[in-house]
Amino acid sequence: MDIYLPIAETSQNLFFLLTIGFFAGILSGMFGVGGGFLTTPILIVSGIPPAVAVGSEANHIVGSSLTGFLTYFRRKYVDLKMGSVMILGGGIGSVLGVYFFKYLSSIGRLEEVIAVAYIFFLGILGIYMLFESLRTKKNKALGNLIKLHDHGWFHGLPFRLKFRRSKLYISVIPPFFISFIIGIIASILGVGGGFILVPAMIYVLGMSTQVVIGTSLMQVLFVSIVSTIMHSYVNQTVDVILSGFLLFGGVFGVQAGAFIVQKISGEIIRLLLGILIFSLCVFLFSKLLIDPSLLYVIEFIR
Amino acid sequence: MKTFIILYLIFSLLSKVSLCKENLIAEFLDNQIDIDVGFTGDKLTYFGALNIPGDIVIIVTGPRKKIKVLKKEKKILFWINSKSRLFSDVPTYYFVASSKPLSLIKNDAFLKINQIGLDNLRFEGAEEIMDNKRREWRNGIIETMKKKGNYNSSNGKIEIIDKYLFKTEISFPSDISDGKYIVDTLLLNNEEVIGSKRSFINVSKSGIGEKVYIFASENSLIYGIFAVLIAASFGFLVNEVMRKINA
Repeated sequence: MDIYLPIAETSQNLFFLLTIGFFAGILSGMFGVGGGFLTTPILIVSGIPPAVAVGSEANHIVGSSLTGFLTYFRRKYVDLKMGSVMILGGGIGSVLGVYFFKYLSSIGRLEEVIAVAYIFFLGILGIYMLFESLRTKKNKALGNLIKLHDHGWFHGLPFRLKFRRSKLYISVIPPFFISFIIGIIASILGVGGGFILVPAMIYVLGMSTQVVIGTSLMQVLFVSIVSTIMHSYVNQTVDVILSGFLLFGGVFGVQAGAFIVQKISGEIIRLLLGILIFSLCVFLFSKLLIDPSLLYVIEFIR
Repeated sequence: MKTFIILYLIFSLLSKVSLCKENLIAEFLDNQIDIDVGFTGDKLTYFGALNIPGDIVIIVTGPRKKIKVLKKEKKILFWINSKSRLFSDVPTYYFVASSKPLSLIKNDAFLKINQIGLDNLRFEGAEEIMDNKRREWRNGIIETMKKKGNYNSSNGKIEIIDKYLFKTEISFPSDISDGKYIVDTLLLNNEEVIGSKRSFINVSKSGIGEKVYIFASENSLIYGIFAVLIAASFGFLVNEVMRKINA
């Protein structure tokens, strides 16, 4: 059964959309991430115009990140002070990102930038997850301990604040800068940015791991709200029918994810996800190499 | 049921033809296309009757728009968009059908002037490039639109039954533009136009799809906030459900 998407101006299979939403939901149920890094490229490959895929996915992430955020917030696993610094940086970044997105679209480079950025990020993330899941397996067997964080030079920059929940006393500049950059990336790629933010918070900022996911969700939620409103205002590329079906599929996915995470060990989940992400990366890369079926791309100007 | 309606209409058309002086009468079973949430493309039946035997040409042209065309080129190993050009006056949809190959019906000059046939379509814009390059771009646009199902030609495919009746089906893909589509029907005999008729197809967005589209384009800021609220209520609801399950 096909459904017509009024903003994408094309029709798409209803069950396909629900299935993507379901899998994105599983990811958010298991890891507390929005799943945008998988959903957006799949939507683009399936024939949704890239601009609409990005705008609508930002909208989808608002829903999925709020679910996760509320759970962590109730358990008090959120550093609200750190989160506030980050939403400031992320908010400004995402507004800039939307205008940069419009610029890329006007010079006809949007599709390529999105494709190359996804290949880059999915490649790094996929390889990292594959290696990490194999390494922790080995470490577990050896009984190794995980190392504590190192102090970098940037921690001592001016405007130092005490982040009690994160167990940090560092300058506000690094978290602001990181979330600013991620805000830009998130708006251009239609992702929440959690998959870059979480490792950055652990390895670069050295935050206490207990509050990392909750705080990153706070930033993702805010950035996706700003990004949705800006994409809608500047580019008119948010399709609520599309994001609505993704969210509906996600309702069941989140519960399935929460169930799976209790049954299967973390390394196996990360290994499977790593394989999935890496194969998507290879697939996107091959699309740049294989002769396209259409040599010309036509965009109607409204 | 549908055949009955067609038969009834054909009979009424025939009686009209024999009564009045018109050489050509043609009608749609339905000339309205609604793009609603369930829209996956459409097929319209167009049929008519002739008073004098001859050849039939039907041309359907969708609303003309300005377009930006990107051309992909292989650089070293990778396919990238190398150049972009602006064209205007490009039909968003084009359909041509005739009872014989076009060249057997009418001379080339006539076909060219009236833009009949995919080879004779003209677009404006991109004057800055050389004629042969421009022709390459133009052919690229037509080829792309053909592959996407927006341009169709079925010349020599209209069957004329018993010398006086004809029928054709016009199909539309799911990504057609809304607006007024012009349908021109010509009746020719020995290279001479002896009858013509212009009619229209109305393509409009309707239902929920139309409301969403209008909302998004006219009040884009409020629409964005509204989209956030819908997504947020979904997110909130899921969280509540999960809490109930886990409690």
